[in-house]
Formats: sequence, structure tokens, C-alpha cells
Amino acid sequence: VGGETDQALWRRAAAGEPEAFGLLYERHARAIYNYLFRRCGDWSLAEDLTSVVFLEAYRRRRSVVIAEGKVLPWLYGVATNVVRNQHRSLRRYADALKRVPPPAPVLGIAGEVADRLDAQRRMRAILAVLDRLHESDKDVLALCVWSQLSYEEAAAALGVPVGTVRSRLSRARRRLTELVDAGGHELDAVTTEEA
Amino acid sequence: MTFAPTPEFDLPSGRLSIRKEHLVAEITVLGGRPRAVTRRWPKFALAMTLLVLAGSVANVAFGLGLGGRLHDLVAGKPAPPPIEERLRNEALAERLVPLFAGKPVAEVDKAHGVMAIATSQGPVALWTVPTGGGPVCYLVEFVRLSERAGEPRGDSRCTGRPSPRATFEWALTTQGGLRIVSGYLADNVESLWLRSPEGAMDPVATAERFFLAEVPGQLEGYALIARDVRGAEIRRFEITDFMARVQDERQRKMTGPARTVIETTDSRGRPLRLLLRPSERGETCVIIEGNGGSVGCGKLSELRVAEGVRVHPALRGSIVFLEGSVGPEIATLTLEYEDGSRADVPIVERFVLFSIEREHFREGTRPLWLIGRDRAGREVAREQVGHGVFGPKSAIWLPGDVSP
Repeated sequence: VGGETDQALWRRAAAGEPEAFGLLYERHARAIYNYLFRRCGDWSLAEDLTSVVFLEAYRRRRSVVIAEGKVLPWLYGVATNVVRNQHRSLRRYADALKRVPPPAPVLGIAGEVADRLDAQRRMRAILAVLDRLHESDKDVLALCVWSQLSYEEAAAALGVPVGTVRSRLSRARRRLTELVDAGGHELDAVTTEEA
Repeated sequence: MTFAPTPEFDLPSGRLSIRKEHLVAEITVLGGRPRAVTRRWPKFALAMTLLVLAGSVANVAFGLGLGGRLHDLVAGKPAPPPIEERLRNEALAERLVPLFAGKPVAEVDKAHGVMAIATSQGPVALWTVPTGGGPVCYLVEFVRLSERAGEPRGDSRCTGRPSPRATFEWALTTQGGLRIVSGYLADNVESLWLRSPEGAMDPVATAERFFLAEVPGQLEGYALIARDVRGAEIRRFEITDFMARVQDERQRKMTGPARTVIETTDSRGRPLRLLLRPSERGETCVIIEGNGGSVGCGKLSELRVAEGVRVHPALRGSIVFLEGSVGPEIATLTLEYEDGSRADVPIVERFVLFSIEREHFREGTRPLWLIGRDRAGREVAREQVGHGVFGPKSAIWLPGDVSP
């Protein structure tokens, strides 16, 4: 989406150019949307929450932390807070969400719909297991493993030291291993040493 | 079950552009939204409630004035002994600073209340003590906290008298979610205003050239504006916290959040921290927070000494602490005082931040040697601690050894 850096777009957006914010949305919506889906296990909710993340990001536009020219880690941080407090977040932007035009009827993409439903079913089963992890460990796992943020980026997203990210991830892996030992689950994506 | 992430999908067909248009429309409205006209009323109602509470506590007559001021809660009243003590200590300690060394000490019998304001967390009062030609010393007291603790709770400070050019001195005190700006106005300031991010101007309570105000919500976007007798703006300060000021003053972009490396307390029990914050060009800023702040930025390799001990005493207000770094060969650091006593000085990531207790301000008890040892316990470095921060003997204040 365009050649302008995140930083330049953000500066323009913060200076009152909503179109620049629209470009940032276009650039990062997919990543945030998928992250939110993996946190809540519901595509439709993830779509609404994606809007909430960007509205919330705009509200906090003066406190944005752009690490190495990238705004995505910070957006992940906002998304993490939004998903944690999703009821409050949705309530705050309820009026705005009511103004989103309803989805048009979907035609001719039955395969994708089936894939989405399958993903949703799978994700909910995974989340049921992950619910037994500490919330902060879950955040780190989702950011580092599923969204493939580096430790530094995850630290920036969560506002914690890099060492904390490492220790939380290690604890999450250890706990998952215990859960797997108890329940016979596979751990192919969370037992790799580096995210 | 596999914990592998599910495949990624785009937003459903057409939804990306619909959502984007919606977002742009929403923030266009948000950007131009005027301040809600009803916003002042809850504050007013709250202030009235607090007035009743404050009045019942203080058993005084009261009224609401400019900036939510509680006129008679403390104004002109002699300071209670614990507050008197805090102010006296603050003023006397200020004599450590060369500018005020030798100035008359606080006129403790004239310590008195200046004003109080209603805030979202109960009344906040400002007390002062005259110091002759010395510094302006005052205490911002969180009345409700004091009542709970049975002793004054708040921040005391001394500052120089602002010149007409400087216009006013100000400080930000935070307590829980409460943010209080306070300070002292130069003679050429007729009124002070708090400007909200939406552009609303609220008068700030002033008395005896002091001012006191609550900053509602987040700090960003708020400003203090001083006007002269004709109503012309003569000075404006954006209200920011220290971290943001670091960023502004150094004109250096911070690229990540600050990380606390050392957290301790100063000799008055207040937080004293050393933080590292990544900044542009791969540099790092070392920030010392405590009774104000300082910052130094550069490559991490330049911020820490290559070998040996480079730790110096620093004076901030009435606080003395050791700050600096040690080489990688130093495993432990011991501080030896003039009286022969010793203390272990923690080293974290080769940085050092160590508060000197007041009992070691006195000549004969001051810090003398810093001794670095390697992992085997062998002494590999020895640095003498300078005494410049303690000033001339006559300027040293210790509890109980000065009778104002």
C-alpha cells in the first residue's frame, strides 16, 4: 500500500489527514484482523474488533510508539488491550460500529467460507486449551508464535522488557507441554525455540 | 490437536474498503468534534460534593472560587506541626544548593496555608513557608491521603523565584490517577489559564502568586497559559510528563518504551530509578528519575565505562546519590564511608544508582571509597568519592542539627 513509511503516514494522520489513516488501515488491517481472530476465535467479532483497534489507535494517536519505523507492533499492543477488554471496547465504540454498512451477500466463494468455518472451529478448540494459561503468557504466545513478532517487537507491543517476553514465552511453552502431557495435544508451533 | 496458527485470511470480499471508508468517516468526525458543553457540570457537581466533604473535615466556612478553589480550607491558617516540619526541612536542605547557600533559613513560625482546590480525589492544599530572599518553598498536600495516613502526604519542593522572562515555575505531581500542576508566578503574570486539548480555557486558582490546578484525564494536549494585566498571552507551557519532556528537549526520537533497570528509593523514601530507553540511530538513553530527572544518550558502549569504576555523587534538590557504571571485570562494588562503615552497592547491567542516606551527609561520615572487586573477590578498582555535592560545612543540613 503505497511507498510512504508508517511514520510519515502516521504523522499526516495525526495532523488531521484521515486519508493517511485509511492507508495505514489498508496496510495493517489484515495482520490485526488475523491476530484478533486467533485471540477470539470468531471472524465476525474479529472484523468489528479490527475497526475498534484502529479507532482506539486514532484516539491514542499522540502516544503512538513507532519502533524502527513500524507501527504494527504498537497496533498489536492496542489490539491486545482491545481483545482483553473487548466488552468495554465494543461498548465504547458501539455507536460507531452501528454505522458500519452491513455485509453484502457472499456469492461464489463457498470454498473460502468452508475454510473460514474450519479455522474458526479449530481456533476455538485451541483457545479452550490456551485459556488455562495466564493472560499475559497468552499475549506473548500469540504475538511471538502466531504473529511472528520478534522478542523486541513483542516487548514494544506489550510495553514490557524483552526479558519479560522471553520468560513469559518460556513459561507458556512449559505450561503447554504440561497440558499436552496431560491431554495428548500436538505442540508443533509452540515448541520451536525462536519465534 | 495442533497449536499451529490457523491460515490467514483477508477481510471478507469488499469489507476492507467498506471498513476503511467507515473508519475514515468516523475519525473525520472525531477530529472535528467540539468539546461537549455539558462536561463542566459533572465537574461542578463533584466540586460541590467535595466542598461539603472538605468543609465537614476541616470544620471551616468555605466557598467556590476560581479554578475550583476552596477559599478558606487552609488559606492563611498556620501550618500544622508535621507540615511545618516538612517545609522547614525542604527549605533548609535547599541551602545545599550554592545559589541559596547562606540565605536566611525558613521562617517556620510563618508557615501557612495558601489555598486548596477541589479535585476528583478530594481536596488538595498548598502550604508555604517564607524564606526571606531564599527559594520559594511549598508543599502540595493530598488532604484525603494525609487524613488516612495521619501525616502529611504530598510533594514538597523549593524553587528559585521566576524572573519576568521565565514567567512562572511549575511542577507536576501525580498521585494515583490524580495529576496536579502547581508553581509560582512571576510579578508580570496577572492570570493563569489551563487550556484543554479541545481548546477550552479554565482559570487556574492562584493565591500569593502560587497556583494549583488539577489536569483532568491524560496530560497530552493540556497547556498552562500566562497572561499579563492586559490579557495578552506572555507564556505557554505544554504540560508533559518527564519522559515526554526528555524526548522533546533532546530532539531525539525514542523508538521504544523505557525499561527500568534499577529501582530504589532516595533518602526521603521517594522513588529513584535508572531507566534505559532506545532512541534513534541505535542509541540508548539513560534516564535518572527522582526528584526531577536527567538524561544522557549515546551508544550503549559509550554510556558504560570500558573498565574500572566511573561512579560519581550527584545532588538533586536535597537528595544525594551515586550514579555511573562499572567495567565488565567488576563483579561487586563496596562503598566505604569515612566512619569505616560499608555498604554493598548493587550493579545492574553494569549501571549503578545508589542513594546516600542523610546520616552520611555529615562530615566524618560521608562516602569515601568505592571499591570494585572481580568474581574471585580480588580488589581491581578503587575510586575516591568527591565531596563537592555536600558544599561548605555551614551549608549542610541534617535533621536535628540546625535550629532555625
